[in-house]
Amino acid sequence: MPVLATIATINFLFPSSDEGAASFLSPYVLKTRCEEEIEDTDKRQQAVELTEQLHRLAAQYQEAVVATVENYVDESVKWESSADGLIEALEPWDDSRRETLQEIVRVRQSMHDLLTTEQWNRVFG
Amino acid sequence: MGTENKQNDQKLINRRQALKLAISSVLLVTGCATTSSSSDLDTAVNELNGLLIDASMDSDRYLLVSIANKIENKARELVAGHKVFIDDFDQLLSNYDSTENQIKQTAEAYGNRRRQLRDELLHLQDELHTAMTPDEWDKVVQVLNQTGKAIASYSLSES
Repeated sequence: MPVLATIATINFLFPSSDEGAASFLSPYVLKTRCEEEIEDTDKRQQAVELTEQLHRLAAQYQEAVVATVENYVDESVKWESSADGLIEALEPWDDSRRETLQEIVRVRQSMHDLLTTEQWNRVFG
Repeated sequence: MGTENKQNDQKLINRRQALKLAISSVLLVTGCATTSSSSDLDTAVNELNGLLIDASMDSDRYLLVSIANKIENKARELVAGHKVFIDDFDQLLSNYDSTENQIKQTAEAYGNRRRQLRDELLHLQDELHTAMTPDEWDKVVQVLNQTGKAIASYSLSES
């Protein structure tokens, strides 16, 4: 059981709460902060679109979490299951997780290129 | 009488170990999220508690408890590492001065370490599996299915 709980835990990335500081891991909070703090209309719109990309990544990530847990359970319940079989079953979701992290970094870089230092500090300050 | 007391002591140790494992599994789950479906998880973990007690009474209790303890320690290491990574990753993303390469390298390093520890955890599960009879594993499967559904359902409701 601790294995199942751990498999589930280590796949969580985005907090379940929509409260707290602006963060790339809290797309809703970040979107609100962008709407509040960026005066330039065009930039604000582009920033909001980036937060919407983050939201889609979060949803995609949650689906991968569920798939990981389901695959882990499906493989584990077989009497003939093995660690190597489990590792192979989870590999696509490891790759998916890795890709999501890279996408988050890409979105963050776009936001970095878009905002001035002052705007960035207002949003994340 | 002496033998009976010894058996009771062993049973007591196993109950304590089983409870420790059950509690740790709850902590590991609730450590990552606020569990609105905590009642489902509590139910599953209570069943696990009973399962571990039964399993350890019927088979080589010391081997099972020893493997279970290794699993718990490995699980805690993995979860603690994950929490540190999330904090570091989040901070790097929000820091204007962080470079793209710096963030990518942090994510890659953690990903590799995480996969290594996770694989070790799965091999420990293999050891536990090997130490159990098919009947005992059937009981594990029942709990695994139930708790797996609760966790998946919770994850979906949060997305």
